[in-house]
Parts: sequence; C-alpha cells; structure tokens
Amino acid sequence: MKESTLWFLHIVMALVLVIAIPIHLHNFSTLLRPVGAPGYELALSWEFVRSRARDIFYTITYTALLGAATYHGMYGVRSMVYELSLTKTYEQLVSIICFLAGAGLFAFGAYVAIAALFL
Amino acid sequence: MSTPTRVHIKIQRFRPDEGHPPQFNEYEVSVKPGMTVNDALFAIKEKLDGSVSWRVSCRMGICGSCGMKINGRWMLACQTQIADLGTERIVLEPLPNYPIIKDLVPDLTELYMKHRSVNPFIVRTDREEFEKPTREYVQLPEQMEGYLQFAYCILCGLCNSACPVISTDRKFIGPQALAQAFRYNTDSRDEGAPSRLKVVDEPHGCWRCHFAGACSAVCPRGVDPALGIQLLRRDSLRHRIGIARPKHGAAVAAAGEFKRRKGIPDAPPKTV
Repeated sequence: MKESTLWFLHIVMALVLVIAIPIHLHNFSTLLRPVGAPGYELALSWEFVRSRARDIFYTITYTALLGAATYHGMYGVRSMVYELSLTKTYEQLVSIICFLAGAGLFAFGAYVAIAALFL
Repeated sequence: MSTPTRVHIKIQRFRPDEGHPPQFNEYEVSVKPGMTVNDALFAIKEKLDGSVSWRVSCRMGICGSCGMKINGRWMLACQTQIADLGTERIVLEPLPNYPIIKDLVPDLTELYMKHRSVNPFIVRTDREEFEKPTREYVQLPEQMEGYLQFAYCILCGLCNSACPVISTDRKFIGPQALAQAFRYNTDSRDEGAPSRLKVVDEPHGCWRCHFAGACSAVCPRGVDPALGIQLLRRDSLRHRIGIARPKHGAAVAAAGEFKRRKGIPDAPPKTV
C-alpha cells in the first residue's frame, strides 16, 4: 500500500478519534453533569457500565474508537521504527508485525465490545 | 557591538586516512573590517597552517560551497562576517549528517543523489518541441510565483545537514530534494509530477518529515523547504484520492500570438 494511502487513513482515523473520544469521555465529566452527563462515580458503576455495553450506539462508538486508536498507534510505531534505517526486509517485517498486532488487538477488543451487548 | 581586533578560531580537524578521531586546532587571526569567516580561513591557510581544508568557490553566497557550522549555527562562511558573530572565540565544524572528506569538507554525494532522484528539471511529453523549440512556453508571472522561492535553492546542503530526521533516518529523501520536487511539480511548464510523486510517496519520502522546521531556519537563501514538504504532502494526497487539480502543460505560444510591449528592443542578431 502506498504511503499516501496509509497517511490518508491516518487522517481519517484522527477524525474518528476527534468524534469518538469526547463521546467516551463526556460520561466521566462532572462539568457536563448539568447537560445530562452521569459524572465520574455513576459512569463507573456496574449498572451504568452494563447499560452502555448493551447500547448498540456505544458498541459502535467503542469499536470505532478502538480501531482508530489502534491504527493510529501502530502507524506511529511503524514510523518510528522505520527511522532506524533498517533494510527493506526488516522494514517489511516491521509492517507485518504492526499489522498483525493491530489486527489482533482490534479483533479481541471488538469481540469484547460485541459480546458485552449480551450481558 | 564592538569588532574584536583579534579572534581565536577553533577548527575541527579530521583526516579519515590517518585514522585519528577529529580534534580541534586553535588559530589566532587579526581581524580586518568586513572580514568574513572565509577570509579568516584564507588567512590561516596562507600564514599559519597550509593544511587546513574547506570548500570554497564564489565567495558571494551563490555557489553554496562553503557551508559549515559556525559557533554551532549552520551558515555559509563567505556570508558570515566576523564582526556579526560578536565574539572573539569562533568554532568551525563541518556540516553534520554528511561523511567528512577532510577537516571542514563534507562529502555531498548523498545530497546530489537525492536531488537527482526527484528529476529536478522540466519534464515534457512533447519531446520534439521541447528539444527543438519553435515557439515559447507561456508562463504567467502569477504561475511563476507558485514556485519561485524554491527556485532560489543553491544546493548548499545546509537544510539536509540541520534536518533531525536525516540524522536518524539516512534513507529520508530530505528537505532539499523534497522542496525541489515541489518546485518542479508546481511549474506550469512541467508534466513530470506523476513520476516525482512516485519517488516522494514512499516510506522515506515526504511523510517522514517531522516538521521541525530546522531546514527553513538555516537556509541562507530564505527558502522554506518545510513549507514545500507540507505542500508536497497535500498534492500527493490529492493525487492519491483522485482530487488533484488537473494540470496541463503550458501552452506553446503561437507565433504572433503575443504582441511585444512598446519600448522593448529587438533581440540582438544571432552570431552562430
């Protein structure tokens, strides 16, 4: 895949993070309580965690957040390792490891998010 | 700021063939009004130590030969006056990020190879007209302004030397070549952007830039390579997702299409 495609996805994922992170964090904000946010203590209570887990909106949001953050992180790791002036073979190996690690983490996280729908 | 009458110049000496690590030799030089670091080096070579080596050519900031680190800053020795440094102690070091041939002489082969890799010339598809032109390629002043500052590059190599990415990633194409890729891609007469984008759209191409801006800070010609890299990224991305602005090669002016303004004399007759 061309580097510009990876970079384009990097920007798309950043946009996803810009939307998904505030949705995730607003539950914990005490400042946003007046506008309906549950606040820190309530957000961590089992009942509220379970109610979020059963909500398809949060399942999609958390899966998107996980996917975007994983891609962002793995692309960053790959970029840093690439700067070590490796040979082409090692660079390809690094790309494959980053892809497999990212895909594995995403698959596991997505499985948890989807399985939680049936809690 | 008072001009010192005598300065102590420490020069990093290194001869790879001797196998010794680099060391500093100190020389004391009398300062004359308007004396540049380049002049001081000539004074040292003529009167104190004939073995001191550095690269120099035009002595007027055009050729880009005499780039070096002067008191820790990337400068051209011919453009830097001793008085402007405001100190009696001057330290001269060769440009980092390049192998050293001897003393202050860096090996710029890598710079030239990277420069060459981006096809730093006008590429045309109408080869016959390009090689044996019958008419002019029209370029409006506003089209020229799109790339003009990048055309001031003198290939001194200071930008690549100051680049923190090159210091860790030797494969990074570097600000000089990337800015030149943008310069020619933007030229309205050029049709070689696709081939250049293939070179820069690689893992060690324009995407590795950290935007530290060191290249722009040290350029003795006021070029902003960091800006060129960001614009190159934009163009590369547009090209990738298919929203690149269509770029047509410059129109070839038909004979008599443009009338000459009043007061402009005829070209001198051909001598050959």
